Amino acid sequence: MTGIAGSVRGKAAMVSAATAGIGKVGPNRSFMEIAALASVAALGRCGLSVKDVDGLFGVSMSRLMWGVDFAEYLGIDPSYCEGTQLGGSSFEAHCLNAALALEAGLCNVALIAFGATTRSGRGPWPQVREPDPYLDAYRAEGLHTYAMATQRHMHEFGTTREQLSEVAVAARQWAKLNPEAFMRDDLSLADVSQSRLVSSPLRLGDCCLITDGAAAIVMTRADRARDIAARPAYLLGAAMALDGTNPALRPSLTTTVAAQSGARAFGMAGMRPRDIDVVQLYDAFTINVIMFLEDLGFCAKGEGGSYVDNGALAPGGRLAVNTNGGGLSCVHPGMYGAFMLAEVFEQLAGTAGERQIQSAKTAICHGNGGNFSTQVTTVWGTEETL
Amino acid sequence: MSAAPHPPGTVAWHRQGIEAGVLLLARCQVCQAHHYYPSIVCRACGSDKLAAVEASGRGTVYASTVNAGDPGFSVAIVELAEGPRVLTTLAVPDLPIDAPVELFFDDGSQGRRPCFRTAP
Repeated sequence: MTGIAGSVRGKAAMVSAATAGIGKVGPNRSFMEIAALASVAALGRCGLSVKDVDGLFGVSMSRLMWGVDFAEYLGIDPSYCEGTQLGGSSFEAHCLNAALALEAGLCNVALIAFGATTRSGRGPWPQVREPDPYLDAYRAEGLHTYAMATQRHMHEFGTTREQLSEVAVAARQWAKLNPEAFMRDDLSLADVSQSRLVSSPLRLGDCCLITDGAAAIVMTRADRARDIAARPAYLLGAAMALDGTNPALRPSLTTTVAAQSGARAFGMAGMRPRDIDVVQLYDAFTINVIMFLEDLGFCAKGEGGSYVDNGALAPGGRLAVNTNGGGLSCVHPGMYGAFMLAEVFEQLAGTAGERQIQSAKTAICHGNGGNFSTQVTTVWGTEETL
Repeated sequence: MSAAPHPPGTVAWHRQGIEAGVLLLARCQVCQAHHYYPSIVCRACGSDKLAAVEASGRGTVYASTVNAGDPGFSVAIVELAEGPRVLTTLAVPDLPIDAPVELFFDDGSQGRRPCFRTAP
């Protein structure tokens, strides 16, 4: 796509983040409550309260007009409310849109929040759509697209069963350094490769968790960020791309439109993959990480399998990916994008504890939605990168 | 099935084609691209001059997966001879990529739907 030359580089920043309810909260906490807990914690951490929030961003798997209901729950009256629904990548889009609203002066304190009790409570995705005759007759679900993409990636490039397992093992090793992560038991390559088949060739170990969880992010304009947070994470680049729901209409199952969103986001930031210290890639399945590394330009198309071999993504490896343990081992209630943003904030703020990447100054937070349906790439940096 | 200059509406088109046991593709009258599933615009050039054409029924397996379970079920993508790909199911679930297949209609619990089996 030519002619996209706008920029929000350096206009806004994350000043705080918090999570709540990761894992299993049980029957006595609602999705709204844990989203509120994360929100109050994030705001309190930077000296703000819910009463300071005048821009509300987010979507929910349980409410169609979530922002309206959440504002009521918190007792706030936002001047600006945005609920772009792109699946799990929605929250990365909300960061871009929050930056636009903040820059335009349409709000001053933006809260991006999400919560779901998928493990403990009612299941996700109350269906609010008309039947799709081209998909429903075959009981086709997102899982099947990821499975077929894996099959094609192995067919086209020789990606191996063990390379998929490397992604899962690396995620677990990061999770072991994160007290909040849901799954922290030992995990070997054989454990993953021999786990039960879910939809060929994907096995249980290739699939993200099903947990409860909430995350909240606070953003302000750049000038105010410096007064509020010790180390804000400035938004340097952001872009989104769409690729439909029916995988038969895509030119390829092994290249996603992350190639497009990544190029535009990196272009806005004026950076390249080699400039990035910490990488968050929406890992709904192990194949996602392999394909996004390729599509975002960390390696050439087809070389993602080799890239992740031999513990390359684990602590101490060649690239710090999914440092919280990811959707594969930390948290995944059905939409994961907000949690990745919280991890970026911690890493750039220097508060990631045992899993801290030393002197982290730049990060990429790449969200995926649907069945490779949406890709939203965001690039973040500390004050030094402005 | 002869081509009509303008399909009556892709919802009716799809249903009537399925009921008649034919798989209808949309063919752009401007750039000649074939499309499935049909919409009212050509996804290649943006024209709204589309006509219905019957697929030959021949294709090859582009990708497939078998959902585990008892019973398991097949979800696949078949590349038609005319070019478009179709999300579908395979009568033989473990056919390899590039295996030649042919269209048939299944009147099972999901309603009449286009499916593919090994081509003779």
